[in-house]
Amino acid sequence: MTNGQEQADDGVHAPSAGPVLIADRLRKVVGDGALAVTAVDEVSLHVERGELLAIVGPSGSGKSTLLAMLGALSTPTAGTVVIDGIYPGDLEERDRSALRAGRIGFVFQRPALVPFLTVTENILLAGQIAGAAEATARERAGRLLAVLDLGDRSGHRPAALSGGELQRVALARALLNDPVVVLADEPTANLDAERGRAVVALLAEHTREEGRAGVLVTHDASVAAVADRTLHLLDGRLVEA
Amino acid sequence: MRLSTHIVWLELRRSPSRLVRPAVTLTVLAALAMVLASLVDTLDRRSTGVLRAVEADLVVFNVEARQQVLRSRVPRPATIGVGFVDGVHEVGVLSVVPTTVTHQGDQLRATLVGFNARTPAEPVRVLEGRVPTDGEPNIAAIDAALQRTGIEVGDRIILGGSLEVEVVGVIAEAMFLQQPTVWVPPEVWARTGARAFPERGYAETIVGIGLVEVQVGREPAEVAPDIVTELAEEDLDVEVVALRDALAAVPGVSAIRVTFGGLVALALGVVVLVSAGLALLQVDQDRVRNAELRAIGAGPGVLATTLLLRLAVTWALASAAGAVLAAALAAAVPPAVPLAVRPATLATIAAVLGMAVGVGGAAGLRRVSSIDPAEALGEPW
Repeated sequence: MTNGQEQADDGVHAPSAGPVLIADRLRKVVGDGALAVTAVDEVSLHVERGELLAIVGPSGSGKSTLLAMLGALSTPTAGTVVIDGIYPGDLEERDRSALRAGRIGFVFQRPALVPFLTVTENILLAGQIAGAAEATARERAGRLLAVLDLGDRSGHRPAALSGGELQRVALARALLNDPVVVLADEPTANLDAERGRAVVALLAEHTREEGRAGVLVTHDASVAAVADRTLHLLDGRLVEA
Repeated sequence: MRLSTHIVWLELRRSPSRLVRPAVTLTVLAALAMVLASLVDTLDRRSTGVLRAVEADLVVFNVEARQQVLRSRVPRPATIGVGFVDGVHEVGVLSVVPTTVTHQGDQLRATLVGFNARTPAEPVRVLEGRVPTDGEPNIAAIDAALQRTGIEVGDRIILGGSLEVEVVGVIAEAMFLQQPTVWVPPEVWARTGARAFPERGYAETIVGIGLVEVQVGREPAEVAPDIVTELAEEDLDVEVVALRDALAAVPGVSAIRVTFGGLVALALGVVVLVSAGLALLQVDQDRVRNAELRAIGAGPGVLATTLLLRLAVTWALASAAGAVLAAALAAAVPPAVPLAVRPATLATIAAVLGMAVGVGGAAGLRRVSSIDPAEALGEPW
């Protein structure tokens, strides 16, 4: 593995041998002095290309904190993360943003889409942020909308969509730039069981078919069952199921 | 920049209320600042119009006058000597005296201005007809303020209750101490002044102030001491100041500038605070969405630029609406109210308003730049 600043800038998704996402002895301490809390403690994991990993645990177990570190959203107190051969901890903030834009797709619990943009424009926003060619991004957005059964909603604004449709738009946005890693944070939390399963099934399908590494954080065992592998987090540490 | 412009443009088109609402708040302040600035500008110009009407670099007062045009008395022969001072291009004389103008039975207060034609004392903006030249005793030019009372070129008016003259021209507004002006040759000024105030010793050999134009390439500040020295040799103590300083010395002008300037500054201070509040409010309202944009790769610069552009749009809307309101108010009030709106004043206030919005918005910029992308996951770290 190499320090991947150069790779982060070039936007080329060169497949690397071995796991796409590696976390090695991650630790995150929040707060100072007597108020310090260890939110994540000595967590190591890896995710292969085409694999969907579920991380389950109760509220407050550190799932989101771990996901933030895996997605280069926050810096670990100790330990390292490697994404597609790149160490985000070694990058400047600007390059970390570029890494997230080009190689990581996020699906959030409550997607905060831009209210005055249409579904298509919200999806294309990810491409604009990543500096993708507009024609290519449009073509890909069209395909994703069709696959995610959102074709007839492309011109609608977020306020006109149901919760399930919003999550599918968020998924399309996450997949637009063909990221090597897709991270989903409780993507079914605000959906009914049927819609939740549908969204997770789509995530699993795209992760496997397109050779991405997927990480799904959930507290719902039935959602985790869709994943290839499940890790349990309790009080910031990985435990046996 | 392109992405931010795209976002703000679509927001303005599709969700204008998000930008119009803060713009309405700023519009009230913009209109207030523009009205106050126009008031101070109008009051200032109506006090100093006589000196603004000419194009001179330096003004020569006798020392006892303490830079008051109305009180200054300079022997006319001495001003001729000024013309020989090294660096002086041309010199003219200008004198004022309070008078009355009677037109078709109506009597108005006005200021009579005696001036040398074809010298730096001649008003430069003639709107209609011409100005009198030296040695034309029975004609006068009026300023636009006097014309607004109904006097036209060709009319006959009576100055000081006894001297009838014909109006041959109209110059741009050149009021003095809030009164309209009548421009006549120096000898007419002396005669009218002598009749109105016999005790003050008005005479053709005594004038009010000297107006000096320096040669091209010479600095007025360098020439001024030489004029003082030259006239001291003729036993005349004079004070020579730049035209800008003479404007400030007109009675009431400093008070007008300080009072209204303070009010304008206060309004702009409120604009800074309101802008800061609006910017912070916008950042807080969009915090989750901005955190999500940061998470999917938008740099802090994108968010900061978007915020700046939104503030710029808010400022532009508020400035335009404020200018329209100020102009409408100026058109609605009676002419006696000193509120004339000039595009230059509105543009200046709009520019200063922009700076105030920028200063206020800086608070929002700091906050938006520090948004942690991890907040998109609900984690503040």
